[in-house]
Amino acid sequence: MKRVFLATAILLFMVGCLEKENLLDVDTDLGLGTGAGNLPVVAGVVPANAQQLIDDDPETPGVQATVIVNFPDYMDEVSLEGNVWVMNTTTGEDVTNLAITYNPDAKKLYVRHMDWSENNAYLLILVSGGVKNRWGSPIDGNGNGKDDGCPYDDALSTFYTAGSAPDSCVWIVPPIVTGVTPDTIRTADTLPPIVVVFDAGMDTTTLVSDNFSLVSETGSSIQLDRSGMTPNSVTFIPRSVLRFGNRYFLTITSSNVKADAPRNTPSYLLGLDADFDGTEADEPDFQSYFLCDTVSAPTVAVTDVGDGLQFDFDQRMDPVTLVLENIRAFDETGYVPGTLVISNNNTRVEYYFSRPTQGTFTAFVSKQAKSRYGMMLDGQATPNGIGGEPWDDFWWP
Amino acid sequence: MRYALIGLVLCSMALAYMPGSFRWQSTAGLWEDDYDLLFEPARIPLIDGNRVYTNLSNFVSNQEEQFGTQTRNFFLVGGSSNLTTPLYPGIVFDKFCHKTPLFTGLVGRNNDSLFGKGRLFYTELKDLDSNGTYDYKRVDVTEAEAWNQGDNLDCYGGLGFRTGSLRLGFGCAHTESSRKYVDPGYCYTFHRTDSSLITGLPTFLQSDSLEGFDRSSLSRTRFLLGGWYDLDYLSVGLNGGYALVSENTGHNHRGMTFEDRSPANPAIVDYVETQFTDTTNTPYQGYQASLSTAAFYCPRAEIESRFYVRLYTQSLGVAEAGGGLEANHIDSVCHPGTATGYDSCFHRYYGQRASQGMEFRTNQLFTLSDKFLLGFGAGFGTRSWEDSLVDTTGYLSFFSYDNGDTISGREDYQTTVRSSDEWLNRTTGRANILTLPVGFEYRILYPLALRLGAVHRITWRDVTSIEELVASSPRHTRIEYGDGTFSEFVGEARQEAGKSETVNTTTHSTEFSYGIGYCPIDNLQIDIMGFSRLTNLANWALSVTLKF
Repeated sequence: MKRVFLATAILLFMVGCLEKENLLDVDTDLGLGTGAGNLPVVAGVVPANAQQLIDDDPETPGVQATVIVNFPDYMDEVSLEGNVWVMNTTTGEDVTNLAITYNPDAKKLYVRHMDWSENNAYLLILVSGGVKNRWGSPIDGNGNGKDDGCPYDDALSTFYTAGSAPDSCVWIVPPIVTGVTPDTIRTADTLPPIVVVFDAGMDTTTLVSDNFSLVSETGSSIQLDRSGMTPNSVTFIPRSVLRFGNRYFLTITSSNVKADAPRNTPSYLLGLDADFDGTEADEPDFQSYFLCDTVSAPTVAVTDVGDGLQFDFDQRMDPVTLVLENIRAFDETGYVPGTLVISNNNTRVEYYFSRPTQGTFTAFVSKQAKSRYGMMLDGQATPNGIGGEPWDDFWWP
Repeated sequence: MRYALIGLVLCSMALAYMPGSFRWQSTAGLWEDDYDLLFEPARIPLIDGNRVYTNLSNFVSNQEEQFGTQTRNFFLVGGSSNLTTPLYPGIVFDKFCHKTPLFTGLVGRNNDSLFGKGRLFYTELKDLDSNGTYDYKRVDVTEAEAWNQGDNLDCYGGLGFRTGSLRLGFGCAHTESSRKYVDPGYCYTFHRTDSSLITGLPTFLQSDSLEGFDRSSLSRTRFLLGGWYDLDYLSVGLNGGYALVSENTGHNHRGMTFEDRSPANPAIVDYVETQFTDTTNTPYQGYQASLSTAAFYCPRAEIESRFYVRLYTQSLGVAEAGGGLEANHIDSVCHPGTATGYDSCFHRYYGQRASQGMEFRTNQLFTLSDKFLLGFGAGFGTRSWEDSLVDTTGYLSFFSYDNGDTISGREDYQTTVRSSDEWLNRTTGRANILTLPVGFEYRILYPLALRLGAVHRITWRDVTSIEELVASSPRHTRIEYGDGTFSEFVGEARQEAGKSETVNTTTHSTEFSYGIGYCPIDNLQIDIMGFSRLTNLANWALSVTLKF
C-alpha cells in the first residue's frame, strides 16, 4: 500500500512539474498576424462556387469526390463536428454519410462522399456560431467583419455534379441595388422618372409602389406610379410635381423586395441587401436622395498669394458666413491665425496670416459657408450640385 | 551625469560612520585604540579614563585633510567615560547635510553658466509684411533647476558594565541617510507666447514642463549585545548583533506639453497636449544578524594571541511597493479630426538580497621591547550571496482617431496593444578571502610612535549572473473601426530567452599603511596619516582625541 501511495505521489509531483512555466501565457500557436480574435472566413473552396465536382474515381459507379475548404485561420476542430452540412438543392434533402475531416496543419476541411448523385446541385453550409477558430470567434460567412449570427453568417458554397450545370446551383448572396436614378444629384425636373436597377432577377410581384416610397425633407409623402419594369429593374413616376428647393428621399423596404432565386435557395438570401454588407437579422431599408432645384450650390477655389491665401467662390456669398470659423488655413505646424478681407462682390476672401508660416499650406472652407441664396457649400472635388452634405467641407489641396 | 552622482551618493553612504581608529588602520588592523573598543559595548570598561571625540577626531571618513582641500564636512561629537563605574557609557554622533547647486544647462548672454535655479528670457520682433514696422512678437521663458541634496546622520550609544571578571555591554547604532538629485533634463519649464502686434492677440502658445528628481535613502538600526569573561591568562567574549535595514531608490518624473495654435479664438480648437510620467520605486527591507566569539590568550606580558570567529547573515527583500510606471498621454486635434491615446508600461518588482558568511581570524601580538611592538596575523573568510530581482512588465497602449466627419467609418479607429514580460535578473556569488596582516609600532621617542602595516590578501571569487525571460505574452493588437468591424494581430513571440555569465577571479593584493601617534601631554593624543610628502601639509589627515 505504501509503495502504491509513494508511486502515486511521485507521479503527481511529475505532473505538477509539467505545468506550463509561462504564467502570462496566451496561446501562441497561431499564425503571425492572422490569428487572434479576427472573425474567421473561408479563403476558398474546391470546387469554387457553382463549379463542377469532379469524380476522382471514374471507374467506380457514382461520383466519389472531396470538397476542400481552405481557411486562413486555425480552426477549432471540435467546433466543426455537426456544423458542416451539405444539402442536395436539386432534391431539397440533406446529404448523409459524409466523411468530414480537418487537417489543422494545412488549415483545410475535407468533405468527402463516396456516392454523390450525378445530375444534381449541392449547397455546402458551415454553420456560423458553431464553426469557430481557436480563439472562439465564429465564422464570418458574408465577410463583412461583423458577427451577424446564424444563419446570416453561415459560410456557403455550391457545386454540381456531372450532368448538371452552374445555373442549377442556388444563390449564396442576396440581391443588391446596382443603380438609382436620380441619385445624390440636383435635378430641375419636377417629375423625374425614378429608376431602380438590381444585380439579379427579382420577384416582380414585389416591385410595387407599396415597397417604394418618396418623401420630401419636409416629411410630405409623394405617391409613386410604376411606369415600367424588367426582371431586374423598375421605373416609377411621381404622381404629383416635386417642389424646388427640397430634398427627396427614396426608400425601398428591404424585407419586402425579394429575389426570384432558384428553388431551394435559403429564404434569408432572398431579401434585399440594402447596405451591401451581406445578410443580417435587422437589414435596414435602402435609401437614396436627390435635390430638386434650379439653383446649384456654391463651390470654391484657393490660390496661394504669398503672405496669405485667396478664396474665390463661383457665386456671390452671404458675408455673414465668411468668418474665421468657416474659413481656415493650416501650415505644417497647424492652424494659422489670420484676418479676412472680403472683396469682389462677396465672391472673394483674402486670408492674411498673423504669424510666420512654414511648409505647405492646407485650406479649409466649411460647408456652413452659404451663397446669398442660402445654398450651403458643395465642397466635393466633383460637385454634385447639392451643398451641405456631410462630406461637403472643402479641403485644399 | 545622473548615474555618476548616484554612484557618488552610494559611495558616500558607504563611507559614513567611523571605520576605525588611525592606529588600527596604520597597523594593518592589528592594534586597536580606545575608539575601536567603543563599538563593542562590553569592552568600553577597558578604556582607561574619559575620552572626548570632536570634529578633530576625523572619525567619519578618516579622509578629512585639515590642511588640504578634501573634506566631508561632517559634524562629530562623542566620547566615553568611566565616571559612573561600574557603568561605562559611550556615545558618538555625527551629521552632515548639504544642498549643492549644479549647472542648469542654461547659459546667459555673456556665456555665463546658470546654477541652481535659472531663468532665461528671449524676445524676438519681426516684420512679417516687410512694411518697415514690427507686427509680430515672440517671447520665450525658460527655467531649469539642478541641485544635489544629501543628509547623513549616525548615532551610537553603548553601555558597558563590569563586575569582577565579567563584563557585559549593550549598544544601539542608528544610521539615516538620504539623497535627492534634481537633473535639469527632468526639471524645467518652457513657455512660448507668440502674438500679433497689429491685433494685439496671441497667435500661438506653447508650454513644456517637466519636474521630478532621483532619490535614495537608507535607514539601519543595529542592536549590539555582548559579554566578556576574564581569567588569569585568557579572556573570552561573545557578541551578537541584529539590525533592521530599509533602503529605497527611485525617481519620480512628471511632465506635460501643451500647444495652442488658436489661443485668441476659442471657437477654433487646435491644440496638442501630452502628459508624461516616469516613476520607479525599489524599496528593500530586511535584517542583518551576526554572532561572534573571541578569545584573547596572554600567557606572558609580552605575548598576546587573539582569536576571532564570526558568523553573519543578511536578508533583504523588495517591499510590496516595488515597481514603476512609464506612461504617456496625448490629446490632440488633427487636420481634420482628433487623436487621443495613451501608452503605459507598468513594472512590478520582486526579489531579495541575501548573504551569509563566516570568518576566522587570529592576531599574534608581541612586545619585543618597551619601544617596539610587532604583530602578525592570519584570517580566512568565506561569503556567499544572492541578489535576485524579478521585473514583471505589463504594457498597454490605446490610440483613438476620429477623422472629424459625422460618418463613422473605417477611417475612424481605436487601437489597443497589450503585451507583458517577466524577466529575472539574478547574481549569485561566493568569495573566499585569505588575509595575512603584519605590522609594528615603534616608539621612537616617547611620546612619539611610528606605525607601519601591510596586509596581503588573496581573494577567490566566483560570480554567476543570470538574465532569464520567465514569462512572456506576445504583443497583441486589436483595432476597432468605426464601421463596427475589427481586426486583431498577435506579434512575434520573444526569441531572446536569456543569458548567463560566470566569472571566476583570483586576486592577490598587498595594502600598505603607515602613521604616527603623538601624545604631547596626557590629555591629548594626535594621530597622523597621509604624510607621504612630509613638507606638504595638504596631504595630512589628523585625528585628535582628548583624554581626561
